[in-house]
Amino acid sequence: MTAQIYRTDFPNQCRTHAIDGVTLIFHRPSGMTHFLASPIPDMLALLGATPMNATDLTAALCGQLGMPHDAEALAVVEARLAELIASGLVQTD
Amino acid sequence: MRDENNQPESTPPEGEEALRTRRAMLRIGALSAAAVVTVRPGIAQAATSALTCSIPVPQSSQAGKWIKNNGDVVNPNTANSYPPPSQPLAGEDVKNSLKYGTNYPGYNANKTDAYNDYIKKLTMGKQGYTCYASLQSPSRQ
Amino acid sequence: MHALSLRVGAISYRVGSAWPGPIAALRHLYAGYPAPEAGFAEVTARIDPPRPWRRWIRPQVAIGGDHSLPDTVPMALRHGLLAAEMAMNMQVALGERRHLLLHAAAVERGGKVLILPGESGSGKSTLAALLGESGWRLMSDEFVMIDPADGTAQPFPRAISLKNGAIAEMETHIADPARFGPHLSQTPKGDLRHLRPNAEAIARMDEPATPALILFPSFGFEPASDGISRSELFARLTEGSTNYVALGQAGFETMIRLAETIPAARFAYPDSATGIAIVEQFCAEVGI
Repeated sequence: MTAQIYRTDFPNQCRTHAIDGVTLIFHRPSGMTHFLASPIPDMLALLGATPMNATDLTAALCGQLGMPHDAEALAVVEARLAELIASGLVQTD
Repeated sequence: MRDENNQPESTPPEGEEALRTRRAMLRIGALSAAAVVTVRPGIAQAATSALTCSIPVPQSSQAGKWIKNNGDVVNPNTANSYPPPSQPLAGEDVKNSLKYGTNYPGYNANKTDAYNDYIKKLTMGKQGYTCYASLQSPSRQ
Repeated sequence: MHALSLRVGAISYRVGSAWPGPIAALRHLYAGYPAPEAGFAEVTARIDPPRPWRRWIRPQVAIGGDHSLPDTVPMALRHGLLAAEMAMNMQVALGERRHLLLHAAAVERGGKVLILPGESGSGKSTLAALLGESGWRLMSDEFVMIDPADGTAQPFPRAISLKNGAIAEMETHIADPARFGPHLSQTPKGDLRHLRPNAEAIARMDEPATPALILFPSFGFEPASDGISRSELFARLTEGSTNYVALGQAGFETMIRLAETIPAARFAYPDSATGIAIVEQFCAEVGI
């Protein structure tokens, strides 16, 4: 499923607040509030700038953190993308 | 659209400790905890959560398309299709339409039925799905 | 049809019923409360038979009004006063939009509010009732109403629900028997008796005040206490707020402000005297 493009309306439709090392987010279109732990806010910021697939997102994220871009990181990014889709913060085409 | 050649957003300078922690979040071990935790207030809350959400018809990535009478998203002027609503449909209006058969304000029965068929085909990941799902929770009935 | 109209802080009620008994009991419990402003009640609460024959045959009471929940269980007519109180709670829980609701008791002293969130059995009602008789003003027992514009707490001094052991305890503290409702035994919530707030609480029902401390009580344990982080406070307060989501972004902003600015802790206590002592200790530390 790595070819699928993920998109988000973040940060345009959101109000965020950093608290105790996590990010609280109010998402206006769904009216829902979520707690977001790292690396979710970074993922949302990257997708908000450019819709992309899981592979490219993993590369961008690892680049930001100065990490090697490997299969483990990709697995984590894909799992977190599933959480983001379930919450309504990210959509697939 | 951002310039494809842009560098990723620069992150603020952070201590070694914080950086190590953020890197650890991309390791499998971090998956034991959810990273997105939705705030779900108590029982009576379920009865009111639909009121503030809305469902765009169709997705914003499909702007300019029309809605066929069976809910499919099609090109404009396709047979048996209608222009979409100009604004996202309010959760409360969707609830009333699905439950009582009321039309959306400003739209006739044919358009309302087409929009509702579109909504019923929403799947997880599509815009409006979480709103539609909250209208379905048992306490709404 | 029997009805009573009254105002409790920002909420003007008209409570109606097919039976006279519960309305008469309510009228007695809320003696001294003002009528709605300009005679206009905004909130309707009703207690009625769930089926027509239940008005006479093994009479049952169902709670209702402007808003309703499909799963509420009917109660026996002899518990009609409790049903009326539950109906009044339900209308606010489901319908209030002008203020963010917290599931908590609150008492005020020197313009500062102590908020005591908690479920049934946590002891919040008993502590609030006791504090309300010893130098504090009772602002509410069930819901604390926070104004989104400025974060202040608006009074909502409804009758206090005393359960089981708390009933005898408060009976020894309060000289005026007229302030108590009937003793209701074996209700779905156990043995229960309602207590009318004192004259000062009623007279000052339009005076808001500033939240200054949030303490989560747990009755029935050895004394212990622990701070609560801001993120946990946000989670616990939203968990107990029936209208947080309905208020949308205003709810979010109001709750953030509470979590970021009000100190919070939880404490366990074995009996009321110890509980009150712990409360006063925390209050001294934050200057209330």
